[in-house]
Amino acid sequence: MTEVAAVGSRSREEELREIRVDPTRAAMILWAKRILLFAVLLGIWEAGARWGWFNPFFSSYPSEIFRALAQLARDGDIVQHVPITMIEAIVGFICGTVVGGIIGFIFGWFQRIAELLDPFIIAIYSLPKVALAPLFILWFGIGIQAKIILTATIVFFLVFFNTYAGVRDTSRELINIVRLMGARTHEVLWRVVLPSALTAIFVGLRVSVPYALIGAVVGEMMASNRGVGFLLTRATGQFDTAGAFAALFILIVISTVFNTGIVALERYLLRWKKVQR
Amino acid sequence: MLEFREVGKRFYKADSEVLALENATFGISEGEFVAVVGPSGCGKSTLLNLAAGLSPPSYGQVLYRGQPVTGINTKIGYITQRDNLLEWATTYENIVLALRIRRLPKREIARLADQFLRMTGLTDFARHYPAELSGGMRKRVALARTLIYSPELVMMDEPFSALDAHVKMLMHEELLKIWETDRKTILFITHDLAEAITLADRIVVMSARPGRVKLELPIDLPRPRDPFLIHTRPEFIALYEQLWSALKEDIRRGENV
Ligand SMILES: Nc1ncnc2c1ncn2[C@@H]1O[C@H](COP(=O)(O)OP(=O)(O)OP(=O)(O)O)[C@@H](O)[C@H]1O
Ligand SMILES: [Mg+2]
Repeated sequence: MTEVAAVGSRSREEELREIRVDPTRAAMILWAKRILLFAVLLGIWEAGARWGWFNPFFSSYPSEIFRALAQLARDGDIVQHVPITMIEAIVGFICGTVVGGIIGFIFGWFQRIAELLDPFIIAIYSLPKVALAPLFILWFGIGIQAKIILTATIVFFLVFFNTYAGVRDTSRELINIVRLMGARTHEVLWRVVLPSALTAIFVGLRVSVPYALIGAVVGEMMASNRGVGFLLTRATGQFDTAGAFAALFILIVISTVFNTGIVALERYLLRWKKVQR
Repeated sequence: MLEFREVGKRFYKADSEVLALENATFGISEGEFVAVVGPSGCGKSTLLNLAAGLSPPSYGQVLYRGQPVTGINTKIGYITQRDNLLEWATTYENIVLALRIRRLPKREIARLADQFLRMTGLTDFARHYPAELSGGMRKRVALARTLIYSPELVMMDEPFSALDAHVKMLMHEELLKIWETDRKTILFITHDLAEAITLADRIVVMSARPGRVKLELPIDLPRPRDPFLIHTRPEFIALYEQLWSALKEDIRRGENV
């Protein structure tokens, strides 16, 4: 009797194995396809530049870009400039997030403040923030402070608006129910409003990652002798397209690393969201 | 304990006005189990919101222990029609929310949580998030998180409407067991006449909107009651018919609106 059951369950298991796709295997196949696609595109680029389909002076070659990257690494440019840009972006990002989050929270909770200041906020928001760069450089010099402040300003608005919307959209009824349970205001904020707003806050954070780099790089391009933005202007100043592409590649890597960090944090903090598969 | 005196409630929206309640008058005394039935949209939920102090009446008085309700009434436990769970908290965390707010000792919290998880059949789902629960399970979490801190008056707005007939009767059994031991005061809203008769000491029937009290019917079926068998009693059937004849014209009218 037990043997029969065991045999039965084994064949059932085998059946299931056939039906169900192993998720790690599926992910590996997907990545293999992506890498293949990337390699093909690089190949077309390389071949096109070599065989004169387009002018390599403007387009450069993947192999040359790789050589330029190696050169940057050998000269110590990467160790010298990459940390500068990263520090500017990270510190600016954190400052902008903290200040934007706190002020967004206050505005969302005290609707009357938001009502009063609404037109001013919109006016400042509609200003392209990079236009502030020259002024910041004038005020704070060509060191990293000006870039941090520029980055923080850009991130501030993105986080501010999303936090504000998230706090304001917290269910009134839910707040009231928790109040009925005897919660004081600080408990309502901590247990209800903050977690409820977190979804919207993370939208702001994710959008902010590339913008944080815009702040840092634009600042460096305008006035600096350090950072990846500087590498970029130096390369283009010498008509070194491979060097410029190398700098862009570095920026992509930095941005991807930031983004991965934010997404991991979001996965953890918003783990209660239904897993969509 | 709770008294509605000639209570009316209007809602304004842009240029239109909805009269949700009109001259609603009734009361609940301590330890009583009162059920309110009435057609959809007649202001039953509105009534509970007034008692909880979530919004003021347009006219009339809502008294709690003789005092007018002026703000959030923390003496009342309120199980709302929408379950209002914390989506970011697990079943366990949702259930112990009020206890944590009250700063109960950890061990006491764990003990009560265990008891209520078991009672609502959610022990295996203690670590699940609301998004991973079925509609009926969510209702049970909402029920457990309110009963667990035993507020002196519990208001329930159609708490079992999402449950299937059998689970519903199990929940009736549990609720009656709890109520018959500690005699909390309960104000219970439902669409289900049989449910109202099974549970309540008294049933308040409301008219279609604007809601008014149409009939108050004492239910003198003996206790303890058995939710699985009570339907078969002749008194039950007589009460059911009485309620239905009071309600049916309003329900028809409600449908036509
Ligand atoms: N916040 C509000 N703003 C405007 N109108 C409202 C509001 N709350 C309720 N109403 C209106 O008041 C009336 C009564 O609503 P209520 O929710 O109390 O009905 P109900 O008896 O609980 O109905 P149901 O049995 O369907 O839950 C409805 O017509 C509804 O549209
Ligand atoms: Mg209702």
